[in-house]
Order: sequence, then structure tokens, then C-alpha cells
Amino acid sequence: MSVRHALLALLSDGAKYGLQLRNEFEARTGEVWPLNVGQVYQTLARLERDGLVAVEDRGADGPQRLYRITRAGRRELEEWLVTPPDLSAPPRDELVMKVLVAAELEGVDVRAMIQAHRRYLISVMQQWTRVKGDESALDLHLALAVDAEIFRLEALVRWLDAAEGRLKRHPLARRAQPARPATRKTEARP
Amino acid sequence: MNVLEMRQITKVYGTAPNEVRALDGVDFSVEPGHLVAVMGPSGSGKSTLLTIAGSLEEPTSGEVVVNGQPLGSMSRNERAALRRRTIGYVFQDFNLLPGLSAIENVSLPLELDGVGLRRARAAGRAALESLGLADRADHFPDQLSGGERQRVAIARAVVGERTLLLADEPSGALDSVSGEAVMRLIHDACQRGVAAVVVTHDAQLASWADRVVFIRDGRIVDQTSTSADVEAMLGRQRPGTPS
Amino acid sequence: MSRDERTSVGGAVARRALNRWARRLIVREWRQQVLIFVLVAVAVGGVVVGSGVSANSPAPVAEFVGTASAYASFAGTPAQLAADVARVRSLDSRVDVIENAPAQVPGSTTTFSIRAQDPHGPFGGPMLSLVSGHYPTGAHEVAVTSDLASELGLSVGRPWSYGGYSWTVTGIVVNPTSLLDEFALVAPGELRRPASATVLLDPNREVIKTMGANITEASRLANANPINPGTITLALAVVGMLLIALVAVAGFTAIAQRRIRAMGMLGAIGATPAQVARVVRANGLVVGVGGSLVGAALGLGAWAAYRPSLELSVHHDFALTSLPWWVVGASIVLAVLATSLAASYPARALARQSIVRALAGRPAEPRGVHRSAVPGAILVLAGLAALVYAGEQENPLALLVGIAGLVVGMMLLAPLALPLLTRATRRAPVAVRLATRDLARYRARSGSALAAMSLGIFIVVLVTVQVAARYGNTMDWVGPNVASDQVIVYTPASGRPTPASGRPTTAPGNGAPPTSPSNAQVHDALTRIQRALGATTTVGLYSSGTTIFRAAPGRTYSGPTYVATPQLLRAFGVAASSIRPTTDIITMRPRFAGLSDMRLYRESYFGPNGPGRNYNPGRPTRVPCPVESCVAAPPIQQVAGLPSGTSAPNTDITEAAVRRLHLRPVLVGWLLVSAHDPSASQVVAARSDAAAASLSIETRNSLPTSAEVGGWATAIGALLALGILAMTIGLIRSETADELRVLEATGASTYERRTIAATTGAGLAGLAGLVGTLAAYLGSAAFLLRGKFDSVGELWNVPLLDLVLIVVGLPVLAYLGVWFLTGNRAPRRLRAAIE
Repeated sequence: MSVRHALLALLSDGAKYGLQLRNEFEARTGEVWPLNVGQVYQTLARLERDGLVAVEDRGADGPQRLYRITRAGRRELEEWLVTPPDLSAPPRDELVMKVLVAAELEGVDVRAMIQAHRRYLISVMQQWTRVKGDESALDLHLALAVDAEIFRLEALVRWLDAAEGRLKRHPLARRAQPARPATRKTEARP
Repeated sequence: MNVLEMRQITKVYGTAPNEVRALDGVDFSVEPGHLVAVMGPSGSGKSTLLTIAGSLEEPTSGEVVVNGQPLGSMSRNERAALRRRTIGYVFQDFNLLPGLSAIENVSLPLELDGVGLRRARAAGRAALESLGLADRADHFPDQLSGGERQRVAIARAVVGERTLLLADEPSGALDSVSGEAVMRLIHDACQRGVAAVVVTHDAQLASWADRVVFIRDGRIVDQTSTSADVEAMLGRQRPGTPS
Repeated sequence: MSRDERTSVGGAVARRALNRWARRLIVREWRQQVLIFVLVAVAVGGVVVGSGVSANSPAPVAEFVGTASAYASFAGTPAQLAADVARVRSLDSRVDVIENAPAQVPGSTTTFSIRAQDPHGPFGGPMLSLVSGHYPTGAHEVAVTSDLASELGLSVGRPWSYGGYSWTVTGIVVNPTSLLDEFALVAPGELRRPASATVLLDPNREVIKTMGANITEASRLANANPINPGTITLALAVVGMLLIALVAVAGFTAIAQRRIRAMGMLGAIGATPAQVARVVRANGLVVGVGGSLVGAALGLGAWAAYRPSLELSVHHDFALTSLPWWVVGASIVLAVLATSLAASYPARALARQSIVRALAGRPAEPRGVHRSAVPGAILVLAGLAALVYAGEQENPLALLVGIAGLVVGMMLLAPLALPLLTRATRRAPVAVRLATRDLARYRARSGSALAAMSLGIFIVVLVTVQVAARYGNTMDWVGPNVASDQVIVYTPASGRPTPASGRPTTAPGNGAPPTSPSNAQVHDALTRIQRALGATTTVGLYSSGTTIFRAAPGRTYSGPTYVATPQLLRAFGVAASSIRPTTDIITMRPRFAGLSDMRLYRESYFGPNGPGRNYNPGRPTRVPCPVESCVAAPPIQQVAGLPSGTSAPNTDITEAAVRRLHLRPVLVGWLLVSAHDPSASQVVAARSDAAAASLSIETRNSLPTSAEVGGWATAIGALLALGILAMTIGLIRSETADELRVLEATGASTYERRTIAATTGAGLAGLAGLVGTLAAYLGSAAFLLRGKFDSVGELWNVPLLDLVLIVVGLPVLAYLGVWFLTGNRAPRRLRAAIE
């Protein structure tokens, strides 16, 4: 998430004080991406330096300053909205690395390991779903952000499913597996 | 007392050389008001678990107890009565009987059970209303959208005083928004005290559950722990999450 | 109400809910039900009309006794009759006396009675009815039947002199119990010379004893018929309903199959197996009740419409309500029973099967049918044995039992032939193989369809074979007497006072001088008749004084022969050169020339009563053939051009034979051929001319020809077979719709889909044709094996064309029918029973 562009977006519907910007920013995305206050002022200062925002009341203290978006700032925001993020290079995903490593190591129960990750991912998804649970209290920004997170996590779960299936069929992986898959049975909740 | 209690359930299809073990010593239980998801790849035995829990099939060995009544000692008609009064089913698709309107579909289990027409209709209407389908009561299945049909099916599964709701990929044929609506309804039913089991391979659907059970090759291999554990794992408290 | 109570009582509410759903299903899927509905309606309607026809066809008892319980009949001189009637009157005071004297329409072969009967007599009411005018009361009054009035040119109010009487016609009357009864009614006591008398009475035991042989009781008349016509209709209805049940089983199996997922769903939401079965059963019940009620209504309508023409053809009147109502009722019950049973078979299977399988839309695995052929074979053999007995003893009960055994056995055996079909097509293209394998695998539906079609074809072939054996027998030449443009004028020498027998009963005086054809009066009369009829050709008919006789087991034949004069041959376009010099007999009858044991006798050898004197049915070949009176195996030649009428010269002796045998032909009449069919008034004019010269005229009667009878039988049979075929094809089409869709999805072309559907239809039709034909032939052969009149050899007379049509034509028709019905697009999805 680009804090820079988020702030520009907040200013696009009118001039705002620093404190106001900070509060609005947190209110919209804070639940998903918590941000410290210093980061907000630091970014505003850079925006001012690059001529993308202008300060109306130069003498005032950070929170009391009134910020306004400039024409260049508006152009920058529009540019940013239509430019796709660079997804061509795969991120170095830790989970993927772990499974790749485990597949090569002798004596590691890959299935059990995958299941542990899966269980964790789904537990996290359960958490996010619970956020969505009470629909009446759900605001749009939050719902969109939660959805994004759930879909991302789901993609990982599905990748784990695929990986498990692929490893099962692969002759090299098969030798690494124990004769019987270790079952990790946890007690049912009371 | 658990609504559903399955002990050491084994189900074998076919005979000796070609036999398939769909379930192999499964223990499984659901308490009132809880939504449990059963996850597993196709062929893992999760649908069999559901049909056995719902008395549609009999296990090769093991015991199923619903509301304290063991299924093993019941006749076919007694099991049918159990399905009319206690157990509600929701399937992936093909849920409603054509030729019957939404309200008739919903009140059918009650009517089959001998509840008078007026009372059955009132209960059916109440169930439809609670699912926001009051204005669709007199529509026929072919006049309803996929999501609406599935909601009618859920209304039928919870109508009356049902305590156990069994769903097999309930949103499999729907888009994700309708799918979420269906899960939300099941979730809401659980808030009112119904115990639900949802069988799925879809992590998103499963994440609606209070507990997710993982099944592989006819065995339960894992399940998610309580939400408190997850809080601990994530190491931070989130706004909006129930503590 | 406690829960347990609800389970048992729950019924009423649950039944209503399920019935509601079943009703909606019927409405939604009416297309699939229409087949069975129509079948039931047609069958019940057919039974209504059929039972009416069969119950009203035989002459009613009232024709003989009126409302009395017995009649006494007397014949003799007027004095004797008077004494006999007086004797009856002395025994019983309440009697109704009817006196008759024979009479003949002048110049015609038509006869009638002059009758004295009291229109207000105690018993004769049903036998007399006034059409117009009033009944005769005095010595100079007479009433006549309408046909007689038109033959004689009479009408009410006109005078009529006949046989010394001079009357005024006062009315037109009819005998409602016998419309063929032509008579002139005079007041009681006004008949001068009665020849016979009938006395209607309700006698007590003593009277019966005293009267002895003269008296006949009505109860004996009723019992004369060995099997009540109602029983026969009912037996046919049972066979018909069996047919329906078979088609319906296949139909309901298909319907149940389409609803399998809905039924699974019903089970999943807690319907008991009995409740699941109820939906399909209710379906059967509704179709059965609806179909039979509609059928009964249509049947009654058809009956009402058909009654007037039936009255004419069975020659007596009857009431509209004169139906065997118990047969109608029984047929409705049977129809409902048949459809209900047919529906409950798949219903039971559906209720029994696993809910999980049903939900998945998977039918139960086809059961490995290792059905034994033994019960079927035993039934067939028993049926054949009963038929042999029935043929020998002429026992109608054994006939019914035999047919029933044969039919049920055949239906048990027919499905066993399905695997043969699979084996026969092992090397055929995949589409054909697929079709035949499915037929063998899913015997629940294909077996009943096959059995139904076999039964239908069995009936068709049986009718064809029997009709052919009966009417195709060249011994029995059935048909109109002459063509409609032909008239035969007989001389008095022809010995034809009453041509009712169709043949001269006595030979013209052998050796007597030819009756003067040169007689001027006769010649004038003939000329006038020719003119009256507009005759263009006149052929003299010469009797040769010989009879052809067949001395062989089975049906016999004897008949006179006319001489094939050059004039006769010319008149019918037969070239004299086409007749071989050695030929004795020429005939137009097919197969006549090939008959064995034919003999040509001089009529003098047999005497006035035909060959009966020397004929012993047990040993026909023992009839002597003395060389001076008989020619054994005379050369017979078939000549197609000769006229076909039974009274016409259809079988003639050649002039060469006349010379060889030194016969002396006698002119007995003339065959007149007109350019146009003579009108009724022309015939009346000709008749009066003939009467003036003591000649008589024979015009066309209305008997159907053999070919007509056989043609009708085949046409009706073919219609029946086609109907069943259409229904079966309809079934198969809806049955295979899903498979065809899958095939289309996997890339099967229209050609392959059509091949599969068409092969299925043709396979069923072909097998059914073979099984049905075989059974019908076996049954017919068994029946004729020891029969007295027809021999097994008669079966070869069956027109080959009919059989080819059935055995080859039906499968071809089925193939083409399904081929064209299976359109370019895969059929609409039919299994959407759950949404």
C-alpha cells in the first residue's frame, strides 16, 4: 500500500488538516494495515517537497497545518490509479520456500508439514471471516480489504492443496514420505 | 449434549478385492450452535461422512447418535422421521422439487410429518421471511435465481424445530457473493442454536466455521483449534474481532 | 398430538402434500403420460364399442319368442294348422298366434311372407312396429315392410293385388328384432292358406310335456351360445389391458427414472419409502382413472354414433343403453388396475433404492437377469396343447386358455431374446453395438416394450393367418354373387325358384329337351330386360350337368360348372388360344388349379341332393369315382379374365371337355353386362318384364369379397402394430434422450445419434416381429392340427406380402421413423426433475 497515494487520494476531495488526514487514513485502512503516526507526517513532508501537495498555513504545527493537493499531485494520483502494480517478478514467498526445501530433505513428513501450514492459513481466514461476520457493522473499505486478504490466503491454501497433490504423484517426493501419513489429531473443543 | 455424535465410523464400499474404504474409524461430534466445516479433497470421504450423519446411509461399523438417539437401532421409517424433524439437508445443486412453489417446498417436511397445512405454511413463511425471501414464497423453482433457490433450500432445512443442518458444498454452484450469502445464513442459523456441518473443499466456505476438520483418505487428520489460539499465533488483537 | 402418533396419522396431511406434488408432476410432464393415457382411453373406448357390438350382434331371443318364454311352431295344411293352434289354445288361454304363408316378388328371386299377426297380441309386441300409416284391420287391408314396398312399388293408400288377394296398403311395418324379415301383414284370421304357424306362450311344465318336440323354450335359445359375448369381450379386454400394463411398465419406469433425483431429495427431507413410492403410484392411478373415464366417454359417444349402422348390419334394433354395463365397468376397473400395477412396479424399485444413489441421479445397477426360460417354455407348450385340443373339440374355453398360455409364455420368453441381438451385432459399428447392448442391459424397460410389441404383432399375425386360412381357402369362395354391372336372368329351366342357396339345388332335367330358348315370349322378355338395364353384352349360360368335387380331408367343395362357350370367353376377353387343348376346367380362383383329389362328376351320379349322399366326412377319399360318371384329377387351368362373382361363371368346363365327355349343355340363363350399374328403378322394370315370361333376375348382393375381408384384417392389424410401435418409439426416444446428449457432447455426430436411436427401435420391432409371428404361427398350427375343416396346410395360404410387411416392414419402418424423429439437435434435457 502506497501511503503516498493514499494521502493524495484523501486530499483529492478538498484541503485537510494534518490531524484530520491521519485520522481518516487510520479509519479507512487501519484495521488491515496499521500505520504509525510519524509515517503520515513524514510522507506529507515528502509530498510537499515534490510539489504534489501545498501547505496553506505554513506557520502552524504539523496537525494544524492545512494541506491541499496541487495540479501535479492530481496528475500523479490519476497516473498511479491506472498503472498496474508490478507483479511480473514472483515475490519470495516464505511458505513456498519452506515447502520447496522440505521436498528435498530426507526424513521430513511433507504432508504433515503442509497440513500444519494449511491449518494455520485457515485459522487466519477464520479470523478474517469473523470480521465480516456481522454484516451490519461492516464498512465498505474494510469489507474490500478483508476480502482481499481472504482471497490471498485462500490462494495459498489452494497452492498447498496443489502442492500436496503434486508431491503425492511425484516419485522423488514419494520416497520421502513415511509409510503412513502421520495424523495430528487435536482434541475436539469442549 | 452434542447434537451429532459419530464414534469410530467405518464405511466400506464394494467387496474384498475391490473394496473402497470411504471412512476409516472416524470420530466426529458437533455441539449445539456450532458450525463445523469438513474439508478435504474429492474422494476423501467427506460426503460419505455427511450422508452417514444424516442417516441416508448406514456405516459399515461404528455408531451415530443424533440428539441422543442412536441411528443404528432405528428402522427406515424412524430414520425418515428423524430427517423430517431433526436433520435438514442442503445440497450443492438440485435442491428443490419442481412443481412445488418456494413455500410448498419449505413446508413439505412438516406436511410429510403430518403437521396441519395452515401451521406448516405459517412455519414455512416464517423460515422464508427470516431468509429475506418472503416476496418469493409463491414463486416456482424455475422462477428463482440460483442464490434464491439455495436460500429456499436452507429455509427448508431449518424449518420447524430442526437442530442439525447438513450441507454438502452448499454454494458450489453459486458465485462468491451468493456463496457468502448462503454461508452467512447457515452461520446465522447457528447463532440461533442450530448445529451445522458443512462439507466443502473450499477454504473460504470453511473459514465461516467455528471449527474446521480436515479429512484425508477416510480419516480425520487435523482440525483448527479455538480462535483464542489463533489470536495467540497472530500475536495481536484486531479491532472488530470477537475476543 | 405426540410425535409417534403423527407418524401413523401423519398420513392424511402427508398424502395430501404428496398428491399435490404428484398432480403437479403430471401436469409438468404430461408429454410422457400422454402415451399411456391415450392407450388406456383407446382400449376402454374400444371395449365399450366392442362389447356393444358383440352383445347386440347375435339375434335377440325376442326374434323367436317376443316377450313370451317359449314358442311352438307348426307346419302343414291349413286344416292341420288350425287343429294344432286350437290344441294349444285349449292348453293355455294366453297365447299369441302368428301365421305365415310364403310368397315371392314377381319376376325376382326375392321372397317374403304373408303374415297374420295381432299387433296387440300378448307376446308379439317386440316383433312388430309401425313405421307409418296404421295396422291392417279388415279383410282388404295390408301393411308391408319398407323394402318390400320399394321392390313392389307400393306406398300407403295404394291398392295391391297379389295371389288372389286385393288389398289397400294401410301402413309400413317393420320387425325390429329382425330387419331382414320381409313380410306383408294382414289382420288376424285374414290369411287364407297359412303354411306355418308360430304360437307364443308362457307354458307351465305340463304344457311343455304335452307339446313335446313342437315347443322351444327361450332359455334354451339363450344357452345355445356356448360363450356369452360379454365374456369374450372381457377376455379380449383382459388381453388388451395386459398390453397396456406392459407398455405402461416401460413408460412409468422411464418416468420414474427421470424423477430419480427428485425422489432422492424427497427421501432426504424425510419422506418414508412408502411415501416416495406413493408419488409414482398416484401418477399411475391418475393416468388410469383419467384415461379410462375419457375412454369410456369417447367409447359411449362412438357407440351412440355407430349404433344406427350397427342396427342395419345386424338386422335388428336395440336400445342405446343396450350395453353389457358390467363389461364396461370391469374394463374401467381393469384399466385402472393395469396402470396402477404398472406404476407400482417402478415405484417399489424406486422406494427401495439408496437415497444417496438416487440423489446422484444414478439408477440402480441393471440387475443381472438370469431368468429361466423354463416357466415361459412350459406355458407355451401348455398353451399349444390346449390349442390342439380346442381345434379338435371345437372347445372355446380351451381356445381362450390356449391363447392365454401362449401369450403369457411368449411374453416371458421374449426378453430372453435380447442378448441374442447383442450377440448378433457384435461386429457392427459402435453406434449399433451401443444400442443393442443397452437393450439387453436395461431389460426392465426394453423387456416390457418388447413384450408389448410382440403381443401386438402376435394379435396382428394371428388375425391375418386365421383370416387367410379361413377366407384364403380356395374351397370357400366368398364374395358378391355378381359384379355390380352384371345381372343374371334365369330361365324356368334353371330350376331357380329361390336363389337364396346361391346355386341351383336341382339339376335341370337330364336328358330332357333343352327348354325352348327359341320361345318367342322368352326372347321378347329378354330383349325388354336388356333394354331396361341398358345391357351392352349378353352371354348365354349353359349348364354342363357336371359338378366339381374335392375328395380330400378338410373343406370340401362341390359346384356346378357352366360351359366356357366362345361367346363367354370373348365377353371376358379370354383368348381361346390361351386355353390348353387338354384342359377340362378353367377357373379364375387362385390356387384352385393346384388342388389335389379333384374330380369332375356327372350331376346325375350324385342325385338331386349334391354329393352329400355318398360323402363321408371321415373318409372323403372313399367316395367312388366310377369311370362312366367321374373324371379323376381333371386338368384345371387358371384363367384370370373370368368373372369372380359366386353366381357368375367363375369356374367353367371347356368345350373340348364337353365333347370328350359327351355332355349335353342346357341353356339356363343369360349374364347381362351393362355399361353402367343399373339403377333400382331399372331393376324393378326388368323384374316385371322377367315376371311376365316366368324368368327371374339375380342382382348383386352385398357380401364382401375374400380379398376385402383379408385386406381389412391386415389393415386393422397393421394399424394396431403401428400404434404400438409409435408408442414404443416415443418411449425409447424419451428414454435415450440423456444418453444422446452425452454422446453429442463427446462428439458423436447426428448420424451416430440417429443410428443408435433407430437401431434401438428397429431391434425391438424386429425381435417383436419374429417372436410375435412365430407364436401366432405355432398357435394357429396347433389349432388347425386336428381341426375338422381346415388343415395345417391352409397356413401356407397366408399372403406372403402381409408377413413380409410385418416381419421386415415393421423394423424398417421403426428404423426410418426414429431416424427422422431424432432430429439434428439433441433432444431437450428431460431429467430436470429437481432444480
